[in-house]
Amino acid sequence: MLEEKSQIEQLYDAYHRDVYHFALYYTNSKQEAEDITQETFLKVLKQLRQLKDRNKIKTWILSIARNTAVDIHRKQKIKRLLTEKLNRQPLISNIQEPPEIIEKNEQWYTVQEALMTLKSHDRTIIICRMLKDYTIQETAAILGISEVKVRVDFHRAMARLRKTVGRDD
Amino acid sequence: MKNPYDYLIGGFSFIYVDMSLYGETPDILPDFIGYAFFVYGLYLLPVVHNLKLWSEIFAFILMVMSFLVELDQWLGSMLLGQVSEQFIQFLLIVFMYCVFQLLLHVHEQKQLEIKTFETYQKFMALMLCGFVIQAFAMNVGASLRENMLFIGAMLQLMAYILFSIYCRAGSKYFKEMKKVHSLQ
Amino acid sequence: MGDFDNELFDVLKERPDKEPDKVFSNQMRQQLQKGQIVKRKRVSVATILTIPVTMAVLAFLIMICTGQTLDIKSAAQLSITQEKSLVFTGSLCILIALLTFIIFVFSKGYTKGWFIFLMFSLSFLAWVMNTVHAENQHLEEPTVPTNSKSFDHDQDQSLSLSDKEGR
Repeated sequence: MLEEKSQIEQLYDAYHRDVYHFALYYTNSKQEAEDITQETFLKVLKQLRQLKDRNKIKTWILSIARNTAVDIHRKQKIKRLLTEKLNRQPLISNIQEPPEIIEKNEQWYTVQEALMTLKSHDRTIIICRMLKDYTIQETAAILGISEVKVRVDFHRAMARLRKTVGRDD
Repeated sequence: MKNPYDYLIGGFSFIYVDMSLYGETPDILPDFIGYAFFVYGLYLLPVVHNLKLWSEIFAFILMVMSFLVELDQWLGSMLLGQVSEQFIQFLLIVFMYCVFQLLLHVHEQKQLEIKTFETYQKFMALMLCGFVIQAFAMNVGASLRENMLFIGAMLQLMAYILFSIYCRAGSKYFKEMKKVHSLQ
Repeated sequence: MGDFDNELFDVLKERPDKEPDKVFSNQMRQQLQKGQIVKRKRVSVATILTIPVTMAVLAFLIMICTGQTLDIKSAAQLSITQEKSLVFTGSLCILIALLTFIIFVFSKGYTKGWFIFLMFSLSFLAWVMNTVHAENQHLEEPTVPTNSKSFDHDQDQSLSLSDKEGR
């Protein structure tokens, strides 16, 4: 039992930032990202004994994170729509910043908003490949699809994203 | 250099289309010729891979098997029966899987990769579903059997059309590459 | 990937609120440290015996309350029609399950591995079982020649090796 506790702490220290980043890019909401991170590690705690191949622990945790993100994000959809209409505030700091920093903040926000227009599958692939720099093999393991499908879907997702952002190469 | 995609689609057409004159003559588009086209088409593919050799050998074996089955039918002896035909149909589906693996390798990270992959997914699903439906059709009532055989045949027809469209795109791509290489 | 794509994502990678809140991270760590480790339920002999024993007790109670005996022998003997419809329904379920599995494998984009092997094996097995069943049906129901068109069609469709045996 003590061994399991220390194991989960190690896993948390090693991977909680990756899970949080993924969740944040996926949902664009700090609150949802925290919920997803919490839910993911509780599931990891429950299912850790069932994991046979310890070499695949990273992709295993991230696949749990991905599935959890899809569930929570879907459930929060209505709530999110209502709060967006009422608040109409982007997720940027209220502290006064120099103009060049404000411009950069708007840039990332534009890209994030464009990412949110994509379907879950496409968004996950782009987050894994472009934002987290995971390999094709890792991305395939997280999504539970073949490597060829990752390559094919990634090209399509990027084309859609470029179109949304406003430049189609 | 000859276009491999022309031979691939030619081969599949010979295998897929069964045409007899007035329903009395044997198939005038014999399947074994189709497999022979496949052997040559695979040989022409611009790739060096073990799978290429194995696919060619597989196509050759299927050529011999289908020749024996056709001969059996032509002679009217029917020793091998319809079971052998259906068995070869299953082997054809496995063979096409091998062909697609080779084509995916040929087009890996190239222009036609997406098209090859999409065609692979749809083609294999349609062919295998058609085969399974036709297998189950053997054991149902007459009217339902006809409907199931029809559905199976339609699925395989769609697979044939998909493969034709793909080979056309492949042929076009091959000609473009040939032009580029000749200019260089 | 082009320069434009890299620039696009470099900007997003530097998102100011990317890092998790330290308070949240510490709270999570404490929660995990405290435990709530759920032990897996072990299936003992007692657990296995509970189910049939419960069913037997319920059946006994039903018998006593309703005053009827459970005539198992007659319930087990299905009529021929019921048996045929059961076989038909079973075959249909297997067909739908197999088709669903095939579509699942290819929609996931698998090109090699265990799923592909299983899919081909199951398809082949389905064909073999259907062929064997068709042969058995053909042998069990010896055909009487008629002038019916539908009968001739059935004859054509059946996989008959018995004709060859007769030659």
